[in-house]
Amino acid sequence: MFVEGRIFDFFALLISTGLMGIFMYMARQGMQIGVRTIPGFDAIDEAVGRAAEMGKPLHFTPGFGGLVAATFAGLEVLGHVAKLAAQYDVRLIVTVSQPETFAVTEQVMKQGYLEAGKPEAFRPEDCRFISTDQWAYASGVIGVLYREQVASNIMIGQFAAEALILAEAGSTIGAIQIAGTTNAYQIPFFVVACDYVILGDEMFAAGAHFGKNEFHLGSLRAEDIIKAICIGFMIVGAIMVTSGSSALVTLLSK
Amino acid sequence: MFAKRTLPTIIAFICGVTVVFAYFINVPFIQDRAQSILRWQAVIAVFALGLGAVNIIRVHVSNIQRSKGQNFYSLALLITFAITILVGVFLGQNSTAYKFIFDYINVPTGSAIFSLLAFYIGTAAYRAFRAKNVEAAILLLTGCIVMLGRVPLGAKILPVSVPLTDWIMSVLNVGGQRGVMIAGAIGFIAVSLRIIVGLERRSYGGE
Repeated sequence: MFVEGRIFDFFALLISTGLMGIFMYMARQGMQIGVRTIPGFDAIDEAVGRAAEMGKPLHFTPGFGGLVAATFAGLEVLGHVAKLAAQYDVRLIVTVSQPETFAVTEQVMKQGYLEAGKPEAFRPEDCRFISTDQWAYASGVIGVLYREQVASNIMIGQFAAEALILAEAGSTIGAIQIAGTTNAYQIPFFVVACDYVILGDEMFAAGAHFGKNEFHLGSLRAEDIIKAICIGFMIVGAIMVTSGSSALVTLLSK
Repeated sequence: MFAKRTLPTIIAFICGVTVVFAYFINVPFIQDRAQSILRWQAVIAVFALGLGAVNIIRVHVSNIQRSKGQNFYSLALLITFAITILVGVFLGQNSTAYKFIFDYINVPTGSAIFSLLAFYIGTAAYRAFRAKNVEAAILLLTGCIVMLGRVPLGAKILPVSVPLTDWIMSVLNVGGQRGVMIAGAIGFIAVSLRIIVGLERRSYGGE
C-alpha cells in the first residue's frame, strides 16, 4: 500500500502535523508563546518610514517562486507592509513573476490598504506582473528600481539566481534593503548585498511576529519542537553510525 | 462569504490531502485523482497568465498616457508583446519567425542579464570582504582561503589552502546549508498545513 521508502516519511509527517495541530489548539486556548525579536522584521517599519521621509516609493517583491510556502511567507509580510504604506501615504510598488502569485498578491495588497482604512489609495498599476522568464523578471525589477528610484527595497519569498542581481541593483541606487529566502544558496548573496536579512525559516515567523496570530504562534512552537527532535535524531544517528550500527539509517529509509 | 472563504478552503483541503496521500500511498484511485488535480493546476495557471497579460497591458498603456507618448520602453514592450502573440497564434510555435524571436531575441537578452551576475558578484564581494568587525574578518579570511584553494596558482602559493578549502566546503558549508534546508522544510509543512485547513488567511485575501 505504501510507496517504497516513504513509510517513515509518512509517519514523520503525521506526527509533525499532529504536533502543529495540538500547539495551534493550545495557543488558541490562551497558551503564552513568546517570539524572539527578528531584526529584519523590525526594520520593515524603518524602511517604510524612510520612504515616507524621502517622499519616494517603496518596492516589494515575493520573488520568482509560484505559490509555494516561501511565497506565502513573503505575502504575509506584504500584508503588513501594504498596511503601513497606506497609513504613511507611501507609494508601494509590488513586482511579481508568476501569474498565479500575481492574483493572490493583488488581493493581499488590496486587503492591506483596506485594513489601513484607505482602500481608495490602492493603485492597481502598482501591483505589476513582470514575466515568468527568470531573466526578464530580473531585468523588469531592475528597471522598476532604477526608474522609480525607490527609497526601500524589500525582497521576501522564493529567490533563485536572480537574487544577487536584484540586491545589487537596489544597493546601487542606495535603497535600504531587507531580504529573506529559504534558498540556502542565495542567502549568502543577500547577506553581502542587503542591510537586513531574514534567514531561512525565520520568514515563517512573519504571521506570529506582526499579527500575533495564535495559529502562527502555535505552529511556530511546534516547529521548534520538531527541530529539536531532528537535532536529537542527528546526534543519535551520528553516534550510532560512528559505533558501526546502521539501525537508524535502515529505519529512516523504510 | 461561502464563495470567498468556505468553498476555496474545502477545495484546498480536498486537493491538498489527495496530493499528499498520493505521494505516500500507492492506491490507483488516489493516484488518478492526484494526477487530475495536477492537470487542473496547469489549466488554472494558464487562466492566471491571462490576468498577468492584462496587467502588463494596463500598466504600460498607463505609462504611455502619463508620459504623453514619450515612454518609448513601454511602447516597445507593447509592440513586441503584440508581435510575439500574433506570430505564435497565426504562424505557430514551430514557425521560423517564432523561433527567430526566441533564439535571437529572447535567449541572448536573457543571457545578457545572467552575465551581469559575474560583475555583481565582484562588487558584492568587494563590499563584503572588508574586515569591519570580527564576523566580517572571519568571512574575509574564509573567502581568501577558499579562493586560493579553488585556483591552481593558489595551491602553489599556499598548499594547505586546498585541504582547508575542501574541509570548509564539505563540513562548515554543507552543515550550515542543511540546517537551513531542514528548518525551511519544517516551515513548509507548517504553512502547507495552515493553507490546507484554511488558517492561512492571507492566501484567501483575508486579514
